[in-house]
Amino acid sequence: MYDWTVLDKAVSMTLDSGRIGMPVFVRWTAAVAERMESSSPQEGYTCVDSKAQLAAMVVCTSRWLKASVRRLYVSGTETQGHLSLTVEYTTGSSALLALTLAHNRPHINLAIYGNLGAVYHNEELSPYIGSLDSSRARATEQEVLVILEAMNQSLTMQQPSVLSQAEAQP
Amino acid sequence: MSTPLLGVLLISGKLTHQENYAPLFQADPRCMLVGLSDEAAISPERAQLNQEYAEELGIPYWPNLDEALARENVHLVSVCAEPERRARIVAHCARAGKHVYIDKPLTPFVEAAREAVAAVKQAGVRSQMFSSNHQPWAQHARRVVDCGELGDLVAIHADNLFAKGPGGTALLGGPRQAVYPPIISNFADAKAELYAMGIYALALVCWLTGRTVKTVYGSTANYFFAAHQQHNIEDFGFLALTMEGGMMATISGGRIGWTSHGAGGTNQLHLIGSKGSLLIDANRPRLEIYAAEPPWRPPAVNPRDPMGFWHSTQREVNLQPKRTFAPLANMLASRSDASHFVDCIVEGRESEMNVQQAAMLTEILLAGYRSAAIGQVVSLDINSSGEP
Repeated sequence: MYDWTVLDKAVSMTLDSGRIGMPVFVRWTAAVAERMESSSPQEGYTCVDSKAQLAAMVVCTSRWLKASVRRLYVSGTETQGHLSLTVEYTTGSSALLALTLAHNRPHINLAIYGNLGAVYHNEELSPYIGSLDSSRARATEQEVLVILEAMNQSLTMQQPSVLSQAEAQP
Repeated sequence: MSTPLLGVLLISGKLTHQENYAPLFQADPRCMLVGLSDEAAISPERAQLNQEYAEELGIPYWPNLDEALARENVHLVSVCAEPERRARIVAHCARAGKHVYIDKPLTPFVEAAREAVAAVKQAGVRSQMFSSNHQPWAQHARRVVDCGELGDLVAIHADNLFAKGPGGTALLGGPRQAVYPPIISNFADAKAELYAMGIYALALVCWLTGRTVKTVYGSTANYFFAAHQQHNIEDFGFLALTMEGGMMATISGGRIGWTSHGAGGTNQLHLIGSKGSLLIDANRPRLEIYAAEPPWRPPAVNPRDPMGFWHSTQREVNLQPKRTFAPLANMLASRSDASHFVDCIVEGRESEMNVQQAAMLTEILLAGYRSAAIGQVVSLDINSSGEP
């Protein structure tokens, strides 16, 4: 499973500098999923930890937007090798995230739009991404579980899953 | 000297996309601009702008649309009236036996879209809505999909975000309360941007897949501009679509401010297949050029057009092109969207972005707006030919 520590730090530092104003929308597609043979012959293949990886991306995105998830909607299947996720935050910001098969060429396409500018990162993944620090890992694990539960609920209902109420409209 | 084949009538002039389309028809040797007209009940300001544009082009302004349509030297009509009037005029022109080139999107009204489809079908004329489908990078995407090197398409993600307008003025802090039906009007300082910009990405997705949209989940937002917020229309939106055969797609559309991109804005497609994936970016591959010259600056705000919608108003404030990126695709010989439509007329074939497809896109967009208003996934019941 990929971890995004180095990317997270670089993005967070940039956003904290205020150069792009307040971040409002994240578009992030990560082609990092690996296929393995499924235990069910009908399904053929499934993807390793793809929901958990997507949930970890949500946690990262929430940190960048400094907001709590209001509702999320998932489409796709692990069998298909692609999951898409829309995330709407209590602050009004939002994200479109997707996790897809790496096809032996893991890469990410990330754009973070602020109200005064934007950050773009479109790269093949390098092996020096880094490792989680343990305190962040513990915090992340609990957040990932909450997101995973909401994702499963959305996949079952084929509707958005609501996590918290919106803040007052400006 | 050969006689021009098609006489082109323009509907609506300055401060519409006619400023883009008319020169393209003018540049096509098979066409000749013959006049400009509009409906009778237009505002004095619109009439003045029409008159000005006709004078600029050196063509007559005919204020009576029926008389203009009755002329035998009019074969094709380029319709750039405001969104609320557009489909009605398209139907009117089709009934007069004229081929119709349509500004995007066709209409914000489902019934008006269906009326336009019926009129075009009954008259047997050709139609095409403007889209980015004929741009070189979109054509490249078409070839990649068609040749099957990515395997079966599993998902497409498409973005069309225009880096225009003075951003940073919207009040942030809470979600937008979307309304349905949405407010779709062209104000001088704001347009509904999911509608106006999202249509490009949506059109690409539907064209590339040829599949029916089954469900839509939509969201709209006010992230950049106070003007949009004041008119209660969005400056940004996205749709998540499930399509026939289990395919999925997401699109985003909006206006993100002058300073948010190294060129005109994010214009990209991410094609995800069972055997591989490909990111196609209108601005890649490119040269990146850095030089000892002053950095690019946004233009002064033109009060007639604060968002930079139109060429003529941006010329007035001396808008300079961004020069850091030089996409290689700009060097390719390509045909304009207008010339593609002329090809369809001359060769007697349907455009892939005909009025029926345009009507289908209207239904999908409106489903997205409804979804945004109720916070739920909305089901659609239209077939891939666009018929409900």
